Amino acid sequence: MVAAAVAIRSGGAVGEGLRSSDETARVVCVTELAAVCDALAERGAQVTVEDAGVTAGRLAGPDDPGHDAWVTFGPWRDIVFDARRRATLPPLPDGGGGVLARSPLVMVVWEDRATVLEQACPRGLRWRCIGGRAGAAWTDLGGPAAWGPFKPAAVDPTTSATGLLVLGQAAGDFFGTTDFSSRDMDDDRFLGWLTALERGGVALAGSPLQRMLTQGPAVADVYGTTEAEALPLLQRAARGDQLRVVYPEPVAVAEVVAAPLTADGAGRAISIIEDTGVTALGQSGWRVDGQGTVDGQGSADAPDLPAEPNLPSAGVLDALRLRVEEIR
Amino acid sequence: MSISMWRTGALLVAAALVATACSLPFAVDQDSGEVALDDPGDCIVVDMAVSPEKIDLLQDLARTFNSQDSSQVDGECIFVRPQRKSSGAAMSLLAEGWDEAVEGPRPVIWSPASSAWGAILNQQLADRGEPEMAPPGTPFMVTPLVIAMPQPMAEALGYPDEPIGFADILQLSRNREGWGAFGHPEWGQFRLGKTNPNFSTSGLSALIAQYYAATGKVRGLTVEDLRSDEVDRFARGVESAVVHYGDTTLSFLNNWYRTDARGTSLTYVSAVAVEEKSLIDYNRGNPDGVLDPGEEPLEPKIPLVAVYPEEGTLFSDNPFFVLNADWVDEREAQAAQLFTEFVQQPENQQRVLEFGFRPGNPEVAVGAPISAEYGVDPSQPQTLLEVPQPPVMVEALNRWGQQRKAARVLLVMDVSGSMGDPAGQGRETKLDLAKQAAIEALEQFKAEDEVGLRIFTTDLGDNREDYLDLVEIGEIGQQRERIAASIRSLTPIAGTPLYTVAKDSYDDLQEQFDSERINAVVLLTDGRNEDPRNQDLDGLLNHLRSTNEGQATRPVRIFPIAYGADADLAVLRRIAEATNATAYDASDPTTISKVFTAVISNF
Repeated sequence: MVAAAVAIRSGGAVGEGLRSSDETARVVCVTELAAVCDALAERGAQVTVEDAGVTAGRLAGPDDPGHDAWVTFGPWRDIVFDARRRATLPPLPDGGGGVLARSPLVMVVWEDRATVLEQACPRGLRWRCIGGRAGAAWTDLGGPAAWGPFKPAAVDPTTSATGLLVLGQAAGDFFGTTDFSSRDMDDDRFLGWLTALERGGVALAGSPLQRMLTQGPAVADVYGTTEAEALPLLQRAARGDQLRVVYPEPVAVAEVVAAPLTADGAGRAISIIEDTGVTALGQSGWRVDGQGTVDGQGSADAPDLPAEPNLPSAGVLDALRLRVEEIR
Repeated sequence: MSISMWRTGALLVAAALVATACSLPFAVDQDSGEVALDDPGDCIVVDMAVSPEKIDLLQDLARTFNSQDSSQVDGECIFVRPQRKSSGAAMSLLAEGWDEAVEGPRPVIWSPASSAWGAILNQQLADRGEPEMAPPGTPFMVTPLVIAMPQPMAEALGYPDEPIGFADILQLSRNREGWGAFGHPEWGQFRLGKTNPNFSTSGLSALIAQYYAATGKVRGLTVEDLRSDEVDRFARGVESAVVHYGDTTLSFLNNWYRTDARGTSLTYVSAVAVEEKSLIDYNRGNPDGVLDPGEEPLEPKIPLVAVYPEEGTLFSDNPFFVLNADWVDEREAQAAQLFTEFVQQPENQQRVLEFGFRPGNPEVAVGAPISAEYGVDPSQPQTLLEVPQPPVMVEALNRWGQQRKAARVLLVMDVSGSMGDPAGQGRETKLDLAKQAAIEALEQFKAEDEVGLRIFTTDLGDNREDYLDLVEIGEIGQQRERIAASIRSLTPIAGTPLYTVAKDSYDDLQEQFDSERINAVVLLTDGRNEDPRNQDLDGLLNHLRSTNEGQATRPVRIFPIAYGADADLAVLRRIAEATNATAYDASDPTTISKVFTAVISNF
């Protein structure tokens, strides 16, 4: 089910954008980074929280962006840049500084399922193996019949910031490199794998990990997300110890950026984001300023992060998104 | 039955409105020190519409919240005021227009049993070009849909080692040997209890699960799936085993509990689709989930066990929707948000467990009573079914209207002299309102249902009969207008031969019993038995019971409606219970239209 969650923390209407004012920064955050917008709202900013696909769709058109800055993941900003270039629209302003925070992509797996999957995936719990088995009966993987079909899950890659990055990491693992092109996606073996993942997997809305923790493995067997979402929640949850956090190879990283959207107001917005938003990111599980692990309590299995995101290019990610929509 | 009829589907049930608080600007009961939840003083009022199974819990939490000094927005106190509203009824009211004079205050927070209702509401509004009203909600607590079965019956099917699902139910319902095929001919035919999905979340979830089972899917159910012949056959097969429907699972659980005491529960119904929470209540000896003052829970002799359908199931997630509605202002929305956060606090989520739900906050562990001791398994379910897209759910409901088991119903209406009394302040008599409600209710039958009309009073006609058949039972598609015209022409006459008409109507239906249909009498009366020739209530009850129990019975249900303040609700309840049905209370004549709708939801 596609989620198009939208929340306006302070006035305005998303379709029309927020009204510009000389005083107030107008910021839109992807849903996964709502904590940043909440912190900015407390500093008086007008904020909107919505799925990345919703903002990207709006910014790819000719209308006023409606906000001064977009707090998102790097590739989504670049997808919008590309879309505007293709549509011969004026480019969005440059700048916005660098990466505000990072978080490696992880798989969260029920411990009992992980033990069985290790046999079915002898090269390790990696997306190439997981994706190829999506929808198979657990009995075919060596598990009990009561577990039903094998259900890997992520948030919807066509609309969610995290979902697209997880899919990019998975496709990179399939090809054995992040340096593949949209033409490579025509390969029958890849299409078969992607179709199995899409149709056998689960695209979840809302707070999937929270649902897994309250409703159990019926929701999903494996869930791809960011370390920032997973670790804080698992550390608090009563059944957090029933889930294992895996850092699938090749390690990939979600990077938070603040993309300027208007020439006039962006400076003020970026400034408040760097001042307040980064603190909120650090407090909500993101790695900031070289911090090794979340609050110093990250998983003992956490690997060193690569210097780069280790994901396919924005163009390829966008093509992946379209390919998923076609499969549906 | 179409979605549009939902607007008439609300059940009015008065909420128990009592609260505890201290030093607050609203009324405090002098004896108990409790705060009345209907007197908010000068506080910001957050009205809530809450599905019935959690009203007690929400009122408890609201009392605690209202009494806290921290429950404020900009220095103004907050007063949360939950009222009971069944999920389907609230959805209809929000979609079609909420009349505060009739339905109580419009909600700031709506908490149906499942998010699916929010999706259906938004779809209905979108179809009319109106903006969504239910934003993404915060799940408050969860409980899965299960198939409740008496333990011996589940064990006969291989429980707990063998998985059981809707496909097994279909097989059972098609098996002419019934339980005899499993070595228990004494249990008779397999009988299924399901609620009406237009009203009940359990009914809606069971319907979705049934369609998934028919397709072999666990997600991505489509309108095309629902339209396939194979799915249609599967659905009709399952529905054929239904004993009757109804607006709430509590009717089944109460009847089950009562028949358990009499040792006949295994021939009443074999399986009922209910929420896990309700099954726990039953096994605790509290089948309706509410302990009245002085009521002591007594565990049933034969407990129920939860079968988590092999094909998968759905959770009721009890969302809190802070509505995007023009009657909700920003202060109310902020106050609602504070209450939403309050109920998520771990100490409040512990209370959720006490009521048999699973916590919505992952910080709180699932524990007792979610345990084998109460017939449930905290490690289940293992497979979740995806909530279909709203247009698919709308199609499912429309198709169910045709696939549901057909009914054979005799409407028996009291036309005694007292029906000519005024219904209230206006000029309309009780009979006027009843006629109007009955005619509206005719629209809820599908064309293949068979319906007849009988009136009763003493001294009817030339032969001074006790009752008269104005329209013989026949397909309503052929005689809807004829019945309506007959109802319009009714006038009040004389006394009330209640016992005679109840017995004879029941006997007539038994004589003409049709095993392919739900066979029932709907008996509307405003009085008590006024027939000196027949005052034998015990004889009537014994007769009804003796012909309704046992494996070879031809069950005919009597659904009485106690209409007006003088109706003998206690007696009518005993008549209903003797046939494992439910009595309905329309002691306020202005509620008769809603009550009629609830009664007809059984078919």
